[in-house]
Amino acid sequence: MTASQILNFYGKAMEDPLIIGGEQLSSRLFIGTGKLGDDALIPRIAEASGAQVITVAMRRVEKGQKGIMSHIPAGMRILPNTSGARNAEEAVRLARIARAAGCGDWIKIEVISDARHLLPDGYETARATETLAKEGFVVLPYINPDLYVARACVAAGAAAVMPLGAPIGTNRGLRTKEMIAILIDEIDLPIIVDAGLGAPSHACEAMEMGASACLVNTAISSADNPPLMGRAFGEAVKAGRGAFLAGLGAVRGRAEGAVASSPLTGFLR
Amino acid sequence: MEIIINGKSSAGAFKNINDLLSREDLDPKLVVVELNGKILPKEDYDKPLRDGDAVEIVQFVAGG
Repeated sequence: MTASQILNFYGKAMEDPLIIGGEQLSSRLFIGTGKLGDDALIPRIAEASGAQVITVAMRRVEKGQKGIMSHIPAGMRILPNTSGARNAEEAVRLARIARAAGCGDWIKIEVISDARHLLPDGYETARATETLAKEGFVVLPYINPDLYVARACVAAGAAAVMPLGAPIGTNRGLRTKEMIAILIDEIDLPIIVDAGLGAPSHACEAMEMGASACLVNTAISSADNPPLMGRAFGEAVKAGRGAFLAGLGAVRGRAEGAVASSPLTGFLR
Repeated sequence: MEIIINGKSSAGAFKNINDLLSREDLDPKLVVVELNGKILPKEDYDKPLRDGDAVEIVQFVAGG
């Protein structure tokens, strides 16, 4: 089975790729490269997790400082972010610089001016999305899970939207579950849950709800064993996707009582 | 001559961007250069720098 294969009703393997910007992805886990104790772990995490999309940031170089690219396996889709941008203009500038680096035209728009909670500015994000989509970028805006912001990003030409599950780097899980569920219902683009997912169960839950993919950085990089945690997230995302496609059964309230799984005809009758 | 490199004033005889990058021990393939606010195409890395030029040198780093 390839990473993206699922089973149909008759148990036959079928492809279930995620398509973003015209590109078919077989893995629905995106990984970050931030905050690892040792960047040499990146290829091992990438392999263990099965991820095909990997995020990077852009910064001014310091003398003799080595960048991250030497650690990223060939063939991975690079998703540069615009972290550090405080408004649309700065995000656009960073995106153009990222494209000039020659690693494709995908860009994760991240516009943050609040230094404590690091929440994304929806208005500036939508503005940057509009400019960059017109320039041919595949734009993935990082947003609060707000229906109107998501709609503005759709209208601006986004290729997907990336709502946060909880504030960046907090590992608190799907705190915004209800709002993300609304985006999944209402927005006709892939919904990639980004930020705050702290455990594989959180990613699995997001996928069970119908999210298209998850982006995980801190939960993997802060694990004692990042490659193993990467694999656990990869498996969780696959499990959750399978459960979503299979269709979860109805949940009964306590007042409705239990339903036996075995015949209730009595002892050996 | 004096140029501004990543926001800091720097005095020296900088010939061009290639010269500057090799002095800073940076691989031209792995960085992006802005000259006076505009992205500089790699084929222009051998064009002479002028006094007062503002150079930004940016690269991919770890991030989420």
